[in-house]
Amino acid sequence: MSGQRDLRGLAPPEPMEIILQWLDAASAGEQAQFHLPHTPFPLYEHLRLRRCHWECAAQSDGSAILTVFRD
Amino acid sequence: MFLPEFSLPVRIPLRFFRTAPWWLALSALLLLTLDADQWQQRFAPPMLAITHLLALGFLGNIMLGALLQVSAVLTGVRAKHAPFWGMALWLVLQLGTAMLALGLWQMQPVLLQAAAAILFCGLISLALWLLHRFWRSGTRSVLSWPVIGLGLTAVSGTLLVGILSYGFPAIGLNEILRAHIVLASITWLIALIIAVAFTVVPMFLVAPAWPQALNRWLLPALLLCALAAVMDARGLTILCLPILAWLFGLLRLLQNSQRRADPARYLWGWGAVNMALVLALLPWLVDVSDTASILMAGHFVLAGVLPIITAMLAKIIPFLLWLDYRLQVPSGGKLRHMGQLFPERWLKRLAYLSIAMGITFWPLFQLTFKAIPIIILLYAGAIAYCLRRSVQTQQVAIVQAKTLSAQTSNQPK
Repeated sequence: MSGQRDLRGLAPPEPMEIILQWLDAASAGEQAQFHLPHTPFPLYEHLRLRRCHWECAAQSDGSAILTVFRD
Repeated sequence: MFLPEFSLPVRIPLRFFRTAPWWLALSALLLLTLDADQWQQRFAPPMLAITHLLALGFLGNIMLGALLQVSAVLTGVRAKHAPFWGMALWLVLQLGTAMLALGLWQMQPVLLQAAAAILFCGLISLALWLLHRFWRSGTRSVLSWPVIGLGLTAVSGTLLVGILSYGFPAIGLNEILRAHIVLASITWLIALIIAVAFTVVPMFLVAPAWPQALNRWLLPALLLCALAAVMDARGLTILCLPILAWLFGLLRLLQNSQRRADPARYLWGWGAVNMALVLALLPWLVDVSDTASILMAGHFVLAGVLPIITAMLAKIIPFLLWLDYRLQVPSGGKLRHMGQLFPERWLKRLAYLSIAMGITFWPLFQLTFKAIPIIILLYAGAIAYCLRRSVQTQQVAIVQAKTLSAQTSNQPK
């Protein structure tokens, strides 16, 4: 687990770049959690191209916590 | 497994965005042909035709493109056969706009009826499909409100054509006319701008989230106020209240934005102030004279809506292009930020132009009205150029990245 990173204060596409860069550098079995301003629907399409799976929990304030697992 | 229909293909909203400036340019060219008398009559056939070219051709294309894109980003709405339906919707809008404008210009009932039928079927189908998808997605999307507004606008427009053509249904022309204008401008256009602002302003201008109460209640309140104005002209006096609440919320967010030098910040503020100003003055000026109404409508579009649309496009389009780029070039490559696709200096120049259009509209209307369409043409050309260059930059970057990748994989190890 690489800890939770708060990406809510960053302008697009920086949060997505950070998540994809982490994923490209991660080894199998690693996981990381990201706090995003909202459910990242556009990111899912990019995650599907990579060896990973993920969980996303929507928060009451509209933000979302995304956990990505490198397969 | 990769599902290609998972989100909206970039070419669908882009097609709407790239078509819009052409309708704007056509509107400007037709405005150039009008004489001084026609400029003063809001119900003159050419003026009605040009109004609908602007409302459906220019604003309609941009707002539908934004609606489709923001729906996909916010609620994950997905469509089977998205390219086909996207193209069908685009064709319906362009064909309906052209036929409606021609029908109004020549006052041809057959063209008006055909245009109303095409637009009604296309827009109602889209509204019902989106509402169904929002409901099924389980998210209480703020986008539902402008989509309801889109449906109501289509219904009122069709009724208006029915009354003009057959005198059916038996509703007063002034009442249905007021209903159509209020529903189109408030429950569809402004409601969508507000719904987009709820996402785009905090996201791209790195500002705090909107207050929960505004997020939840503002759009239903706007719809209720608009319906009150539809039922009774005295309701127009309360239309500005929800807009003022939105304006104060927006200005507070813009004040706390971390992107202080971003021209989009000023465009949102300037546009929102002017929209609120027009809505506050509307009940007192709209029945004074045709000239006052045209001035109000022109100020609403050029000083209110246009700056906001400029700010929206300058963020949504490079973001869309970047998403598409990252799908085709999964890592690395030359494109690292959206500024490479839509440089801030472009937005700065577009901002100067759109603010100048808003400031000069009233004096030019009184002194030399033919200058107005020339400035509009300039703006249409500038926005079309920026869109074309953004797409070209993205395509060149994709080709370069793929060529580099092919060269690297062909090198002997």
